[in-house]
Amino acid sequence: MMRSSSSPNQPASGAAGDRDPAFPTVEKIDASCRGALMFLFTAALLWLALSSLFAVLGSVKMHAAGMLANVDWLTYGRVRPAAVDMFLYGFLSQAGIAAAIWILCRLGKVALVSGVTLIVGAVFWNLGVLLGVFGIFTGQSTGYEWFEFPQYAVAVLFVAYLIMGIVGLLTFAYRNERHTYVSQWFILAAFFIFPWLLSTAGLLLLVSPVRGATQAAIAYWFANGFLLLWLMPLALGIIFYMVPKVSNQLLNNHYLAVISFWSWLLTAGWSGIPVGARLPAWMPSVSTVASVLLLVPAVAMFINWRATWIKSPAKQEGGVAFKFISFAAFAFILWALAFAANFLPPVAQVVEFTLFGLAIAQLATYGVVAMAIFGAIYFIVPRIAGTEWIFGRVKGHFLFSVAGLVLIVFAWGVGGILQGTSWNNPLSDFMKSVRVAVPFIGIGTIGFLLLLIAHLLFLSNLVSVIRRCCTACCGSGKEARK
Amino acid sequence: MKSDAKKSVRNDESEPKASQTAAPVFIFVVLALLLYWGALHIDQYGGGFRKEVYAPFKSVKEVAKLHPKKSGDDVFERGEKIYALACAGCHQPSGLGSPGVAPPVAGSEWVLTPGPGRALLIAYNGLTGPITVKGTEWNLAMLAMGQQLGLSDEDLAAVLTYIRGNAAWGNNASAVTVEQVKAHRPTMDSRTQPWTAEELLKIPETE
Repeated sequence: MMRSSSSPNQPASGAAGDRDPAFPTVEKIDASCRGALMFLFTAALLWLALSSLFAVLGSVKMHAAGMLANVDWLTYGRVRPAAVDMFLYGFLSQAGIAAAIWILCRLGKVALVSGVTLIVGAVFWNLGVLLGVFGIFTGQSTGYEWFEFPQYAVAVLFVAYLIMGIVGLLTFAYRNERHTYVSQWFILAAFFIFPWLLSTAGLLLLVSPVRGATQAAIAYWFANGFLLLWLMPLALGIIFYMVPKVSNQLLNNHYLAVISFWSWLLTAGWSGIPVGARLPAWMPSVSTVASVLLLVPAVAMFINWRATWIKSPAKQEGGVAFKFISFAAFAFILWALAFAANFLPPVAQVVEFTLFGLAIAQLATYGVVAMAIFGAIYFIVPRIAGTEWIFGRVKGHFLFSVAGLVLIVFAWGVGGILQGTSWNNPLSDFMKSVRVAVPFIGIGTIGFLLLLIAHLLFLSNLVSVIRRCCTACCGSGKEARK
Repeated sequence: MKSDAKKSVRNDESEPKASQTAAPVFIFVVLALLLYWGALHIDQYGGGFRKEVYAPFKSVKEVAKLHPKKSGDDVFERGEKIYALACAGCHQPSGLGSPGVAPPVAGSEWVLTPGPGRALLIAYNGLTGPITVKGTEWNLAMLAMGQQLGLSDEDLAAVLTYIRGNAAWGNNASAVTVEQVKAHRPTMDSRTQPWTAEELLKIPETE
């Protein structure tokens, strides 16, 4: 969709002097991102498809434990963490970084500082994920949730991140538009926090492990920070960008966004220690308070988004992306409520150590973060590749993703509550509490199968975009990259 | 930004900006209410930020109640029980003894010696003949209580700790260890007769 008429000397469009003639055009900005971002998105989607395959297998093993049980690297204890980590590091983090960097370019009205450096970082990142997954399959998992990759893989990931993160930060530093927007705050916060999380957890859990209960506290801190201070801010940055962009409106309220940003940032890091954790009582109780306080920024953000998109009757042509974004927004508020409830002692008494926690994590990582990233990819790729999606497959992706997610969250949520109730009943024996969850895990497997279909549709759609881009506009693409 | 006719395809040139309207007041009210609730919650469940209070317990008091008491107290309580069973009948729960029945153990120079030896031997093998306690002469016979009840080293150490260290009686001699009792065990076991005051005085009072 390259607009052939555009050139740097084109007079600023009528939109109230929105673009300084000295700034690069959006076409130039998008072209600067093309190679690196297409590499990151393609690699991310490959990890996504692979991860959903193993997620199906992991779910099947919970109700058919004997399946493939004699192949040691396909046992449940390796398949499930491998699937989760491929999803978190291979897909969410990688695609999230790519989308975030594009938003930094667009909002800063600046071309990407170095696409080649970004690709180098991305190659190392994928190498790190590959090594980590290999480590898990060969039984070298560290045993910390969401941090199962062995030490050498974490080291590679850290270096890879530094390369990509520095490209992002330099792009921000060289921005032409000096005014910043809330998306940039969230993305920059995430970019500064992630290396802190990864290096602290790596040093204190893997390189020279701390003793006793402190290990558990740090593992909780890392997993919570990974979700609330890394993945979520990336997703929130995307949603804050996409909602006004697609609605073609001003974001409803600047000050509300300021309040949401700071209250989120100051509160989120304190959460994550479950009520029943065997740690000094003040740690889980502070966590409970922080998790409930997160409702304030969550509600503030949601009403801000809603007030913005409700003003725009037609969603322009970003409608495809907007379906995913608005789903992520609704999932976000639902998740915030469930997350806060999960940390209240009376609720935790029932649902702790059950499938319920997994349901909430799935809602957060898939319903909010992955959906926001899907939306961003659907919005960004046509712009940087100059080729449109096959809309039928996008629709299919959305339907299968939503159906799969709803099935999983419903099944694990309800199954978890029944499991916990049975568990707390002194007259019921333990095996009964296990058996009550089995049909729900079965429903979850169907959900994961739907997700696998959704992701294969997504991947095939991207392959088609790339093929058309290469045959039709490869020449002009090379030219645009100087 | 207001859209214009040119942007029918893409509104790409205009990037998101935020409108500078005032933030709604209710969000501050909600924040304040939740902070207040948070303070109450931490006060109720936080265990006063003390590292020894673990969930599901909520305060130092609650945890202390569930902890076993210190071992010194255990010995003293065990001694109190044995005293009530074996000694209090004659020497009285007050430790003051009773005229014509038994001399006092409270403030007795036979009890408050640096070492527990003399009192231990009396308690185990009994005593006969004249003896002076706190300036008063007694001439009675005491049974070999320890031997008859088959008190163990631990029992003897406990009951003597109780008698010697009973602050309520004004006694404050050192606690008796099992090792100190063991040292006297051969003497105690080979003795078949009650002791006399004369014999006991030959035993150094530090033993």
